[in-house]
Amino acid sequence: MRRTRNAESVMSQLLPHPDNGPPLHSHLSPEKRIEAWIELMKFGDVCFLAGLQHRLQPGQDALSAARESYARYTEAQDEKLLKMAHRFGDRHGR
Amino acid sequence: MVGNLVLCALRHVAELLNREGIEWAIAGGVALSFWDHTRNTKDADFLIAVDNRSVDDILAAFQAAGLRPKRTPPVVTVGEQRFVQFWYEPPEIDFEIQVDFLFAERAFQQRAIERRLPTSMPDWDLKLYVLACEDLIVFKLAAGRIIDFADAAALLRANRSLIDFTLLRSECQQLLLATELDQVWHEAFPDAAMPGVDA
Repeated sequence: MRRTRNAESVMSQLLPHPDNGPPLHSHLSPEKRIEAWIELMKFGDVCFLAGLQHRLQPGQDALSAARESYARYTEAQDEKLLKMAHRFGDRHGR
Repeated sequence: MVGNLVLCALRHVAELLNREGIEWAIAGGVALSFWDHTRNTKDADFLIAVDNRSVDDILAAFQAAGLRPKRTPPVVTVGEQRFVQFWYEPPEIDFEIQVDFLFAERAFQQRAIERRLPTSMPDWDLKLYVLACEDLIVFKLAAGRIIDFADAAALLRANRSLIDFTLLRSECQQLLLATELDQVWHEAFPDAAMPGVDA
């Protein structure tokens, strides 16, 4: 419970007030919103690769650096999945 | 780079699941964007129904389609929940993408599969399925990280007029997530009571 409260207070600092939030795309169809997500992912890739050029160690190639970065991402994914499984797997919940 | 590979993995797995006649729904970035919360997330998370097939048959079909189990044995059991994780390597690049499958074995998850919504991707000639907004919020609350709570709050904000709050509250109560829902609602709408709840 304490953990949830901590998470809540941190989220208060991260989540903008409704009046200051990012614009919504409610005028777009769901399919157009998915297209926007694809574009965002592609743009994210471009930014990631640009940043990578500055971080590469001598002799390190972009692909292996991307693998390392993705490995960190999947660690966080594993943690999330395990947490979710614990919650859903609780025999008291239905 | 990774974004394109994730899309390749999503397409490959969606084709596989449809071909195998397995009912499924996406719970990652596609679902978030469908519900008007676009975030640069590279999850390939699937909820899959396993009621009409044996898990061994499903795993065999996955492996025949080029997916490699992340763990040995592949299936992880947590309480009454099972999941499995695979690696998928898109053609012509030496890079593996993780694909996670949560088995829809609990009553809530089976209801979520029934409530899933069809959608499509540009230029993909196949049907995709996403979780209903209420169910996606429940998933986010169950995931429990700060970023997941922020996603849930954003989903509430973006879909306030569409959400069935009676359903959402009922599912959260059954999964012991009512406190988390109330907290996230308060974050999303500090000055308003949740519909159907006295202030």
